[in-house]
Amino acid sequence: MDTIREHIESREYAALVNFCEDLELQLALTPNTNISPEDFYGPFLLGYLLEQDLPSARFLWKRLPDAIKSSSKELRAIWDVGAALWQRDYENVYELIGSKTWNPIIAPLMEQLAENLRERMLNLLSEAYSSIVIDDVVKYLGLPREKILTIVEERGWEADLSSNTLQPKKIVQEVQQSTSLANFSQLTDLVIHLEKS
Amino acid sequence: MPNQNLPANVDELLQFISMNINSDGYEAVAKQMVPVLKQVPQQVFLQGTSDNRDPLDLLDQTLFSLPYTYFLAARCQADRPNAARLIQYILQFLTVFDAHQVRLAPDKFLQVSQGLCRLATLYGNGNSVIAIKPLASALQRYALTPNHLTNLHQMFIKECLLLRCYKQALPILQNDITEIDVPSTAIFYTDHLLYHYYGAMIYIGLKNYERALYFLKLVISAPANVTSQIQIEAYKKFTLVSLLLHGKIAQLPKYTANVVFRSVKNQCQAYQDYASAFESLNVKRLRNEFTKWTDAFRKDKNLGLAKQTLDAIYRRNIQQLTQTYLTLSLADIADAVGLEGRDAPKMAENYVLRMIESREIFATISHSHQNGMVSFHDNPDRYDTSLTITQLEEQINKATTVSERVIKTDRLVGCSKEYLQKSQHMLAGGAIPGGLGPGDDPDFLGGGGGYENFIDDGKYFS
Repeated sequence: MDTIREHIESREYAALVNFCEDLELQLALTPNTNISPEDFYGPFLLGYLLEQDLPSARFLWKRLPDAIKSSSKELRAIWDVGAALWQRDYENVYELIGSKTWNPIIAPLMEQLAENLRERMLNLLSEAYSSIVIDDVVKYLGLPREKILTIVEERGWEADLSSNTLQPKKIVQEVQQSTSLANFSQLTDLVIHLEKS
Repeated sequence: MPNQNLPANVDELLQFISMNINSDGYEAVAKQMVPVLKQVPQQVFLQGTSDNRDPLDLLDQTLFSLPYTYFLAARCQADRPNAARLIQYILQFLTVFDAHQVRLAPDKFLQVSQGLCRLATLYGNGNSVIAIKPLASALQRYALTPNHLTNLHQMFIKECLLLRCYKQALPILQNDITEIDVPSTAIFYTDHLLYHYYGAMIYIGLKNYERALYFLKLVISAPANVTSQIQIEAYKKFTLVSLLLHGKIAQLPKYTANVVFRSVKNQCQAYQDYASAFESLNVKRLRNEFTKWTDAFRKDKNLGLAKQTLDAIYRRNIQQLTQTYLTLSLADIADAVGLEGRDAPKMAENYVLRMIESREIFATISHSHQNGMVSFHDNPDRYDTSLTITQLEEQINKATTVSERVIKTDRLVGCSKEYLQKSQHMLAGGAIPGGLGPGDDPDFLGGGGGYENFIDDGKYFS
């Protein structure tokens, strides 16, 4: 359990998932009554969600023993969040996350999940929209209007309150251009190969 | 090995084993030990020794991997195995076994692996995933190279499917199978078909449709004199996955067996009708076909996949629009792609947004005009970054490896006894066989033809 906590604290979700995958096998072999299913499967399921590996999260939910599924309300609630993500019902994701007090071990993961989703949406919206109604942004980010106005201002979006729209600023991605000796060696290898055949 | 020398009880058997194992090399072991082990009656492997000890405790699992496999296989087949204890022995064995020895008894090793899965269900506390990871690592050591197919492959992937451990199958599936060695792996023709069929199902589950399509193609195009039911089922999935990826049925390789072509034509009517409805990009027609064939899809357990095509047709339609229009209002898009109802423009917007995120289209949505407008762009990537170079190099490397491999195989076939005999025979009969000598098949090596034509066509150099 300590390892799970450590991974959560250091935000290493890929490592968290790997660790849980191994632990799942061990637990099936030698049951450990000290570890409650919620404390283990909860972070496991959320780990997949944070890694944006929805199919794996779905299969984990499907292979969970029925006894655990029916006895734990929290796991069910976590999966409800996963299902909403699966259906791209983002408004509902924020609502589900916000409407419940989560177990202390789950809470930071949920916060991170909402945070990641917001970041993803902000990037997507700035790429996809030249102007967007503020109410829609409220849905995509799951935050109140005033909060959104401050966030997007930091990002250089322009607000037009008369038409109730925002003009997102495109993110220009820096592309690293580099050539190195490796390129030449690649090219020689290729020429040698062509000469040979 | 004459029959009277067969060990009559487990004491004698153990003695025989310890005397023979130290002889020189695996070949000697194979020659001396395998025939005896094969003939020893099964119940001998189940006995305890005369001083009441378990042979499983007496034999070293690494040094005596071959006989150990026989002991474990016999225990797994027994009527009432002591599950908890036997699982421990097998798990231990799977981490330390000597792959060379185990390959001498591939069928027994398969029995042990199957036994482990069965025991896991008996014992698993309602959760029988115990077997997956140990089997995956055992399989990696057991296969001669990662590119070899073994008799364990398809059962492992099937187990992953059954236990819903899709992701855990990937370390195995990501290696392309290019090698087959029948004696050390005891594989059958169907092993190849099933492995790739199950593999495709894993990739479908994980939504890696490109790889799924590739696996299904391998199944369908496998050389065949009669069509296997597995190929038929693969073709059904192939149709639906093709629609998701390309909007039409992907082309099958031309070396696909004729019988297979004929069988799928006769037996997959539902899927072919459905595909042509999809290709028409007419949402109403597709929905009608879907209702008509729902039972067939459900029976084939392809309903989920088919349902996804109902969603994919809108995206396919939107993609078509980008070819024709520069800007379009959301309402017009909804209308053009066949979305209906009061929410249609909003739904269209959701589709467009989703496609922008997955980089299926390049577009900007604007809310400043009434009801929303979408302008479509070209792909902004100019392919002039070092990222493109890296990708190109990766592809070239892959192509180089493949072509080297083809040349190697071509030479190997060209030297093989069967091939030489056959071509000799054909030459004597006056007829020249299709492919001719090694390296002469223009389809395969791309040699000769094109290049010489280019040179001959003097005008380029005048």
